[in-house]
Amino acid sequence: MSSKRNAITTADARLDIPKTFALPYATGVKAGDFIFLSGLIAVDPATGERAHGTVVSETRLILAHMAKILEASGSSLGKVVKTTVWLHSLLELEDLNRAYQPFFAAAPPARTVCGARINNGMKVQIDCIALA
Amino acid sequence: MALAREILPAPSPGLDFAAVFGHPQTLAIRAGGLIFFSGMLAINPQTGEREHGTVTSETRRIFENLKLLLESAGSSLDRIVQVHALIYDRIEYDVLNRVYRQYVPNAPPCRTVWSVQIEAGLKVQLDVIAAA
Amino acid sequence: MRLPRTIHEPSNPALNVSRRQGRPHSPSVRVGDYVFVSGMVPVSPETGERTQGPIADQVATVLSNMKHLLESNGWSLDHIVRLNITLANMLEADDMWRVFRTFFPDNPPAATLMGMQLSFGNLVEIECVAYVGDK
Repeated sequence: MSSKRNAITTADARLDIPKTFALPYATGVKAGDFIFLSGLIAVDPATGERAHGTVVSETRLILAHMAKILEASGSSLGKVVKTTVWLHSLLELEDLNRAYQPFFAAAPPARTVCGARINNGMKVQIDCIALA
Repeated sequence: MALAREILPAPSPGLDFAAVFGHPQTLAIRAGGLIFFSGMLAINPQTGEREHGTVTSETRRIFENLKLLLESAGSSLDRIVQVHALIYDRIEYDVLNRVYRQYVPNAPPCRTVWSVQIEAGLKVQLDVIAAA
Repeated sequence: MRLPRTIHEPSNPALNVSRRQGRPHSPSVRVGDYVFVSGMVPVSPETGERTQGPIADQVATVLSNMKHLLESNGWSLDHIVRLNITLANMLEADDMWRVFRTFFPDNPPAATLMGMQLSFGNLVEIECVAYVGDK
């Protein structure tokens, strides 16, 4: 059986991070009952450029973007089962929570947060697994 | 028919993360035959108090909490499939292994160890996916 | 719904780090149609010893070994859905991607990059999830 990966992408080219930065991975892949997204960083919806900011501003951009990606594939933030959040510093956990919470108001997904290094000086990276 | 995600109730008051810590995350979600957990920390399952200790004591508490949760959901520790073992410093890798292997002695899950910053200055966190 | 859970190992015993090092993990675990693969660091398929060397060599070794593990079980790199790539030094990201691209030249999987401390001179560690069903 030849496996054709069911890659998902964003309709808006400015939000297509792998394409903008010429990176050899997919925004996400739909496989069976689930969608697996790559870790997202904050990009400016107007220009597609990395949007360095605060943990709050970056988190908001990331989750708004995640919503668009999932919705384009027939899923939604409400169907996310798990997120992983990488923060440049866990001292900013409260700010993360403040920015994150409104996107998952009812029955938020399972989550793990950790402090690690993120590429290009970004402060936040978030991935997810969602029901397709 | 769209698959649903099912929020698993906390088996004891201290493990109700959202209630205890006010963090926007659900303890565990079941979907598609899998259970996705929020990263588990050394938390007293009754009181919700964080139990800062050694890598050994924290890992024990984490596995005991996971056991409680998994069994209340009709699963078990030996149904865990993937673990991200977050540790505050890779220097305690051997210490982690010594206690870890006691809880998953046969056909253990797959694992990646992440040496990262963990919430609240704790030393260990286990980010787990299990078969329901 | 109680999905079966099975362990899957590489045919080459030199690449079975879990067994050789007596570690409390399995090389990969299949549950239903998903296969979760443990983080892999560069190991020589000849000797089973850690290999050092520059990032490009380490990435190539890890992805070759991952390919071997999947192929040992009747799967392939095409089944990979998402990888988590850890680098000891984020400045080496471009070099890592350059090699990565050669393993996934078309229609690549999802991937997340993170930087943290690694042991023993390892510059990279890679884990993945594969999907081996039909849907």
